[in-house]
Amino acid sequence: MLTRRVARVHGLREAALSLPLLGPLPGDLVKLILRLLPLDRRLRAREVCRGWRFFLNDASFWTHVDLSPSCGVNPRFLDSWRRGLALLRAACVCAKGGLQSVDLSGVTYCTPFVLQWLDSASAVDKASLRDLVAPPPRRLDVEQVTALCRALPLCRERCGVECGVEC
Amino acid sequence: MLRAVEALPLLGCEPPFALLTINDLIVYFVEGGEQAFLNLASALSGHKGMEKLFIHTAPLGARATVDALLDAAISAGIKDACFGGCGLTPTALPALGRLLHSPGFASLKVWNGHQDAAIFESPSMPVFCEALRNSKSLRRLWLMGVNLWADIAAASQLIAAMEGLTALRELSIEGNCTDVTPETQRAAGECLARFIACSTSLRVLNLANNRLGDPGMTPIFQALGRNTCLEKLNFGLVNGEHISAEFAHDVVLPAVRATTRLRELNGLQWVDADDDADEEDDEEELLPELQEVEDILAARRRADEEAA
Repeated sequence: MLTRRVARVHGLREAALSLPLLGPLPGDLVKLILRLLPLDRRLRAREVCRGWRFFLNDASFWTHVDLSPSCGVNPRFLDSWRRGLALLRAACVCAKGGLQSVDLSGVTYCTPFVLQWLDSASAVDKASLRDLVAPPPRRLDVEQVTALCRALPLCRERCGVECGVEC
Repeated sequence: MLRAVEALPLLGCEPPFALLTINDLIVYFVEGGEQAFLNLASALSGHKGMEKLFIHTAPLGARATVDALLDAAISAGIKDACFGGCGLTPTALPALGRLLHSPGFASLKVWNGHQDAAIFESPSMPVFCEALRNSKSLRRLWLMGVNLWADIAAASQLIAAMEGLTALRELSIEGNCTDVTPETQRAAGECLARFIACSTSLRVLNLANNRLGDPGMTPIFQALGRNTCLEKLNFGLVNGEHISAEFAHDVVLPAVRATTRLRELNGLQWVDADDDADEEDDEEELLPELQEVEDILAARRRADEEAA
C-alpha cells in the first residue's frame, strides 16, 4: 500500500518535472517565474493541471505573502476584507507552517483586518512569522497593538497607531 | 478613556513592543500639561522608522513644548506631519522651519481651527520662509484656518517663498477668510496669481472658504492661462457667496479655455442649504457658462482616460 502510494507520488513528481510547464525553459527559471506571480494568480495556477499543482505544492512558494501596493494582486482582493482574508488563509495553508512574512500595506479596508486574520491563524503560522506589515488605513489603538505584539512575540510588526481616543 | 501617555511604552519599544515599528502615529491629547508633551517628545525622538505624525487637539502654544515636539519629530525622521486644532502661534515658526528643512520631509498639514489665531506674522516669518524656499522635498502643504490674510505682507512673503518649490504638488489654504474688503481680496488674489503663473509643479490648489470675491478671483483666473501644471482648483464658495453670470462668461470661461492641464474646477456655485429646490432643480440652476466649463473639463478627463 505504502509502496503504491510512494510510487504514485513519485509518478506525479516525475510528471510534473517532465511536463513542458512554460515551454523549454529550465526548471529553476520556471520556479522563479511562478514565484514572481501575484498571490491570487499563483493560487489559480495550482488549478491548471496536476503537474502544476504538484510543482506549486512546494511550501517555499508561499512563505512570503505580498499584498503591498505593488503586489499585482487583483484589486478586488485588496478592497474586500472577506476576499482578502480568504486569500491570506489559502496562502497560509499552502505554506504548511512555514509562513515568514506578510505585507498587507496594499489593502484598503478599514476593519482591524490583521487582528481578524490572527484570530483564525494557526499557532504554527504565528510562530513562524517574522515580519508583518499591517494595513495602513486602519490604525490600531494601544490595546490592539498590545494584542498584536503579544500574539507575535518573535515577529517584527509595522503598523499605524492611534492613541488618546476622544470620548 | 485612553490617553496620549499610553503611547510612551510603544514608542520606547518596551516589552512586548520590542520589535514594533510604528509607521504612523495619531495622538489625541485630552489631558496632560507641558510634561506630557515633553515625555512624548522624549519617547518619540528615540523611535526610528516612523513616517507620519498627527497631533490633534493638543495645546501647542508654548514655545518650549512645540520646540521639543518638533525637534523630536525631526530626530525620529518624520516625513509627514499634521497639527490639527493645536492652536499654533508664531512661536512655532522656527521649529516648523527646521522640520521643513529636515531631509526628505514631504508633507506639512496645519489647521488651527479658529480664525483669530494668526501664525504667519513677523518677526519669525523670514526664518520660516527661508526654510520653505530651500525645501527640496516638500510635496504637500496645508495651511488651513491660520488667518493667513490677516497680514497681507506676511502672506505675500510666504506665498512668494513657495514659487521656487519644484516638488510641491498640493497646496491648501482652505478656511483663511479675507476681511471681505476689495483691497484685501485683490491683494490676496494677486499674490496667489503670481504663484500660479510661475509654478511648474503644483497639481492641486484648494482655496475654499477664502472669501476672495470677484476682485480676488479675477487675477487668479487670468493667471491660469500661464500655468501648465495645475489639474485641480477648488474655490469652495461659502454661505452667501456666488459668482455672477457676467463673471462666469467674461472671466471663468475664457480662463478655462486658455488652460491646458486643468481637469477639475470645483466650488464656484454655492447652493443654499435651505433652498427648497431638490437636487435636480439645483443642477438646472447651474449657470450655462459654468455648464460649458464643466463640459470642457469632462471632455479633457475622458480624453485622458482614452489615452491611458
